[in-house]
This record gives sequence, structure tokens and C-alpha cells, in this order.
Amino acid sequence: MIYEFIVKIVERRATPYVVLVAFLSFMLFPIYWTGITSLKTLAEIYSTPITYLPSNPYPLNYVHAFTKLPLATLLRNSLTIALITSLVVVPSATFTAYGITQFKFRASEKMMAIMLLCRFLPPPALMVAFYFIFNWLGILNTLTCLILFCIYLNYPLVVWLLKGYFEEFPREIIESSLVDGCSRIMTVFRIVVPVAAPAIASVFTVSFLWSWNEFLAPALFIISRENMPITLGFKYYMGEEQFEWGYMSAAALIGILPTVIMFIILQRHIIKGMVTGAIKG
Amino acid sequence: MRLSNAAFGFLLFFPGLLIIIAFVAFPAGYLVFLSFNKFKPGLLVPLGEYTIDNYIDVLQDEVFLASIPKMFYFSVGSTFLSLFGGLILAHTLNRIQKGATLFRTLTIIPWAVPFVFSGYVWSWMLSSGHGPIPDILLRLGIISKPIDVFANPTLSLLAVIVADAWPRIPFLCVIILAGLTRIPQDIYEAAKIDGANAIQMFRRISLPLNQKPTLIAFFITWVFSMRALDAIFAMTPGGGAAHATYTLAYYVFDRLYLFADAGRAAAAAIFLILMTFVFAIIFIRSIRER
Repeated sequence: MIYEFIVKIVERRATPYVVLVAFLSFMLFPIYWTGITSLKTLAEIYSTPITYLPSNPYPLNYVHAFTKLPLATLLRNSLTIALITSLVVVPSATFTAYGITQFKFRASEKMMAIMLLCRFLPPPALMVAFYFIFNWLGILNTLTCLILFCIYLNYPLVVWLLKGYFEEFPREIIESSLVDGCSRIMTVFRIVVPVAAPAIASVFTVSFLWSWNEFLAPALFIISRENMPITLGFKYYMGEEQFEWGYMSAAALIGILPTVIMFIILQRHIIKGMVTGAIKG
Repeated sequence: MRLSNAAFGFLLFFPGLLIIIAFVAFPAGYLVFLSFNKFKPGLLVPLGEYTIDNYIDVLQDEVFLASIPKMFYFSVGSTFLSLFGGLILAHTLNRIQKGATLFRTLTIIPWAVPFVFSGYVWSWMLSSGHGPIPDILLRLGIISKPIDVFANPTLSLLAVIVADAWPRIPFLCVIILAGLTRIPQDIYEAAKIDGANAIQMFRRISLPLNQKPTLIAFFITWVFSMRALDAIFAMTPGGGAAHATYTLAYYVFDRLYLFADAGRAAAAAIFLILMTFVFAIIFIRSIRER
């Protein structure tokens, strides 16, 4: 009896929508909550009972976020790290992945296996070694060491994603270009890169995202406040001084906004890349 | 001089090899080297003497030994919670046409969020004074008085599991959904003609035929959450009530971050790597068999 009832409900056309709305409300509630809190005055945040809609929206919090916190510096640092890392990783990974997949040379199979292995190395473990290496190089507490660490972090993943893409790359395009007299290297630049542009853009976003969101490495390597990226700013300003949740929530939202937006814009390609990488993995 | 295809390919690939050697192989090897070094206590200066004491110390450290089961509770919890969420989202997304893009966009938003943000947001939301979650539970009558989640070891563990699973759910959803869309519609049609209802189709068609992508996503998530630390560090710095959330990854990180105990950090790091690899190999093997 109950079974038939459940089946009936499951089969209704509206059910997926109901479930989706309910589940997504739960999934997006943290962001909603941060947004709400960022529009509340301090008094309202601490008042009981808790309000779920700001009674008097207080957008000044967003101004406070920049004046009472070094938010601009934090964001600038995150941007620098994420941008430079991705600009280094993506082009070199593109060539590597293209080389591995399109040309069979002796070690290509082994190299693919090594890339897979690298993905499974735990970053907290290698951080220990990097600490000493960076110390010896004298670049602890700089953005440079974060960039180098993020290169380590992202490179195997990006190669892996691009490898999945290039394995499905239509060979005819390359071959017809070679037949037309184009050299192999010119083919890469004139033909392959433009065609692969969506995939390259999406791995750029993934690499950007991972570098922007990296927290442990800055926590370990950075001490001075001018060099903190926004993720470390979360810890110092929101973890410790927990009182000013109003503008801290505003700052937090601003901190995650760039990556969320990039992700939304490029979602189709990113998903395709991840799916190919995972299913063929 | 015209390079052979193989040589050209190797040339394209060569800078990548250098990057891997410099950024991955070298630090990994250095880590092994460090683990056999003696250090001035409290200082990060290698003494130039070599010993296996680091490994012995670590293996005899109760905190280390206790951190291993915690790592499993945490990663298992996070992975299954993500799987649950991913399955629900994927199967519902698979059934709708109108608004599919909108819902999909909303679904993947948590994926872009840093884990440290997840840790802080969930700890705010769970805070007993002004957090919405205890408030909602109170209003619904599910609990009678506000409980301090972070004073309770079990609840703290559940809390970090939620904070870690939340950004992972979209990944699982996306992979599972991609696998679902590859199942040909004809199978469902034929089943419907044979009188199958939705639940039977789910159990006999959707789940089994989608096994491979689901398992791959499951294992990837498990391996990644085994070593995850950001959310735990944000939510329960120091390991939480009764050190309930002090996983192996946290142990490794803390040796260096808090205790400046480089020897144990390196040795524990090697253990973490070995365990991760063992699991990764088990996963890869079991997937190959399908």
C-alpha cells in the first residue's frame, strides 16, 4: 500500500521540481545566510529572535568591508596568485597534454600514469617539503612561493583534464592541416589552439578557482598581512575577530564572488571537461 | 632536419616533464630525505644527522594513531553525504526539461566556494547563540533547547562532515548526471511497456547502468576528502572537542604549523602519502575490473 503510494508520488511530473527546490534551498542556504547577514546591522545580527530577512537593509556593510579590512589588498593578492599560476600552468599543460596524446613516444603511457599519480599526492604532505625548500630559497612569506605551490597543485590536474580533451580531438582537422602543407608546430598554434579554446578557457578557470581557493598553503607560508590572499583573510579576520559579522559577511561574499561568476559563465565547458576526465579516468 | 613524430611529441611534452620533476618529484624526494633527518627541537633546522627516530616517534604517538580512524570517519561521512546529495540532485535534474539550465547553474554554485569559507559559514550557522540552524530546529520542535554543537565531539565531527561535503556535492551530481544521460531512452521505454514503475526503473536501470561513473566520482571524492583539511581547520581549529576532528591530515599539518616538529611532520606526511596511494590503487583496480 505504502509502496504504491510512494511510487505514485515519485512518478508525478511535479515531484522532481519539488525535490529540487527543496534540496537546492538547503544547498544554497549558506550563501543566502551570508548575504542576509551582510545586509543586517550589528544590532540585528545579535538580536533574538533571529531574523531571516533583514528588517532594515544596511548596505553600508559593503563599504565597511573595504574600509575596516584590507579587502582590496586581500583580493589583489588572490588575483595575482590565481592569474599568474594559471598563465603558467595552462599553456605548458596544453603542450604537454597535446604531446602526450597525439604523438606516441616511448614514455607516453608512463607519463600519463605519472600524471594520475600526482593527482593523488596529498598537498598537506608535500607542504612540509615545500616549506623547507622555500625557506632555503628565501621566498617564504611572499606571493612567489604561493604561486609556485599553486603551480605544483594545479599542473597535474590541468594536464589530466586536457589529456581527456585531446584524446577526443578530431584528428581530421590536424591531418587536413598537415596535408595542406602546414608544419606541425604551426598546426598547433593556428588550428589546434583556436579549436580547443573552450577547453583551454575552462581549465584556465579551474586552475584559477583552485588557486584562488587555496587556504592551507597561505596559512603555512604567509605571516605578514600584506601578502595574505583572501582565503587566509577569512581566517584572520573572520575566524578570530568574530564580532563584526555584518561587514565580514559582506567581505566573504565579495571574496567568493569572482570565482562563482567565472564558474557560472563557463559551466558548460568546465562540466564537460571534468566529466571527460573523470569518466575516462 | 625533420623531427620524427615521436620526437616532436616528446619535445612538446618535455617542458611539462621538467615541471613535474621540479615541482613534484623533487619535493617528494626531499620529503623522504627530511623524514630521516634529525632536527633541533622546536626549530626547523636540520642537524645533519640521520635517524629513523621520526618514524618510531610517530608510530608511538597516540595522537597520530588516533588520527587515522578519525580520518576514515571523516572521509567516509563526507563521501557518503556527498554521494547522497549528488544522487538526489542528478536524478531529479535528469527528469526535468524546463528550467534545467537554471537549476543546474544553481546546483554547481557551491562547487566554486573555498572549503575554508564553507567551514566558517557552517560554523556560523550552527552556532548556538545566533545561528539559524539551531533556531530552526528549536522552532520545529526537533530539539528542546539549544545545543552547543562544538562542545560535543560527535556533533563536531558531523558538522565538519557537512562542511566538507557541501562543496563536493555538485561534483558528484555532475558526474552522475553525465552518466545518466548516456543511458539510452529506449531502455526506459521498453521497461515502461513491460509495466515497470519509476522505482523499479531506478533500481534496475538507472543505478546499475550508471555504476562506473558513480564509482569513479565516489572514489575521487573519497581520496580527496581523506586529505582534506581546510574545512576542519576553519570549523574546529585545534581539533575540536576531545580532538574529535583531528584527522591524519590535520596531524601532519599541525606538526609543522603549530609544533614546528619537522621530523614528525615529514614522517607522518610519508604515512599520509602511503595511505592515500594504497587507497588510490585499490580504487583504480576495482574500477578496472568493471
